[in-house]
Amino acid sequence: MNKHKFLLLLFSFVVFVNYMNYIMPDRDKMHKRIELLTNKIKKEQQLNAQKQDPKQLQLPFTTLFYDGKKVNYSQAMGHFQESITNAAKERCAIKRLKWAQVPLSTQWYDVLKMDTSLECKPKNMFLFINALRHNQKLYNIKNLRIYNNSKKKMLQIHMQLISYRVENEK
Amino acid sequence: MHKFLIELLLKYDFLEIVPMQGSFFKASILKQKVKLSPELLQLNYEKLSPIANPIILSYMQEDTIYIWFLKETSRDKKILIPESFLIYKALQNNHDGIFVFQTDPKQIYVLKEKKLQTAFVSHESIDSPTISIMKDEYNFTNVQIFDKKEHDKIVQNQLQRITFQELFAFMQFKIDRENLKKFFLEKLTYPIVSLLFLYMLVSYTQGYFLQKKQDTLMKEYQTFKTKNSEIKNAIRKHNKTVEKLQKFLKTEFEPVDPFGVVYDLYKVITKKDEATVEYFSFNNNNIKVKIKTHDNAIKYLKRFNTISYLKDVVIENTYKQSDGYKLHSYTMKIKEEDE
Repeated sequence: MNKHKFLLLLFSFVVFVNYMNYIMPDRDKMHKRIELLTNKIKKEQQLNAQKQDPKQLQLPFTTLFYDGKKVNYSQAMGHFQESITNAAKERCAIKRLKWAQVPLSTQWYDVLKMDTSLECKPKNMFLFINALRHNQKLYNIKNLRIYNNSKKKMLQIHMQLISYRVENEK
Repeated sequence: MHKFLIELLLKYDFLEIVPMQGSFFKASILKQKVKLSPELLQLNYEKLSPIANPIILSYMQEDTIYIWFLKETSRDKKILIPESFLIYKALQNNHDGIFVFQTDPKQIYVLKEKKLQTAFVSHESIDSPTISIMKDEYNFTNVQIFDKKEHDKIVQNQLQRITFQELFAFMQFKIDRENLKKFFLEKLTYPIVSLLFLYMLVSYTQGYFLQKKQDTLMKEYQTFKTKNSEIKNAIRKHNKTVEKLQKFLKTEFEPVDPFGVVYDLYKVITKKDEATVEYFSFNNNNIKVKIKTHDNAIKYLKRFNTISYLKDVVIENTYKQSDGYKLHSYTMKIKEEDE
């Protein structure tokens, strides 16, 4: 009788050891995975609940930049010059506007450079800049030089006005 | 833990302290250090007992064996510890002498070289003549007398400090390896086997349900993932574009708007000052300003230094013009974003 019991005990231990080593599911790992999945689902649910329209996430490239698909370099420069002359109208006298050479485009955007010389009163200088800011297109100023012409009581302003054109961004 | 175990043994009558008057103590010297079985103890020492068919308790210490003879009646406890053994343990580290406890009946212990020579009870009072007789008999001058409270305290303390080895020595049942094996096989095989299989069944079932839950969650997650893929892609693209635009702004634009600097010149030259800006240039974060005035150049230098985004303000030169005005030239730089 005891021999049978001993064999039964031995068999049970063998089964148990093998079960522990090869069959027993890793419950800790499963718990962690369930926790991870629950958190992921929670995040996905939150995102889903926001009901965002992918179109809302599109940045206003065509508003800020000249659209390369619609206007070429020359047309873009023309529009840019027009915006400068409009901003200067009745405020400043444009003495010189010079287009820079067609740039070699190494970036995702083209730089539209316009060497500009103006003559205006100090107050009108700020009004000109303000009008330029009201344009939708992004602009930049480089190499700014201002001289005070005391005889004429006017400011001579020389600067490089810059705008940008993009082709592939929407 | 130890204290708890003792209390547990006492509570369930597995342990009993045998009062001194219920036992007869004898100490004996062994010529050889041998382990004496209960049968050998009985054979060698039963004749010394005043009690017929006694229960013999023994404790070996180096070459000395302490023996207690107990009446067999009503001794069905599992562990029997003589009271005198506990008292002896407490007195062990004292000097040689006679120790008298004023209990009822009185207890007398004689210790020599840290060994218990004798222990007995006396129903008569212990007065000076009796002590003198004891001193003479055992040839000791050191006699210490304790009251009943001290006795009880000693017994309780020593009971808490009793070791497993001592408990084992006073155990009335003997552990037989063969019997243990038999007991283990006969009584514990089925419970152990059942427990093992139960554990396997429970853990496997638990694993099965966890796997099922995991699969359900995975499916749910995949559904949401597919649903949100369009918006996620849009967010990813948006973040990329924002990053690109930030880089573009950093490359193309100065940290400060040039006309913003021009506007701030009003902070440097106020209406009260008799001064005019004759020249201003802004190129690659370098600014040059020429101020025509009668004032000292330092006056405007100090004001330039108060503008937070400017650094390295320097007076480049000062010309005195034919009309009496001074023309101060200043150069300065725009601070970097992280400065």
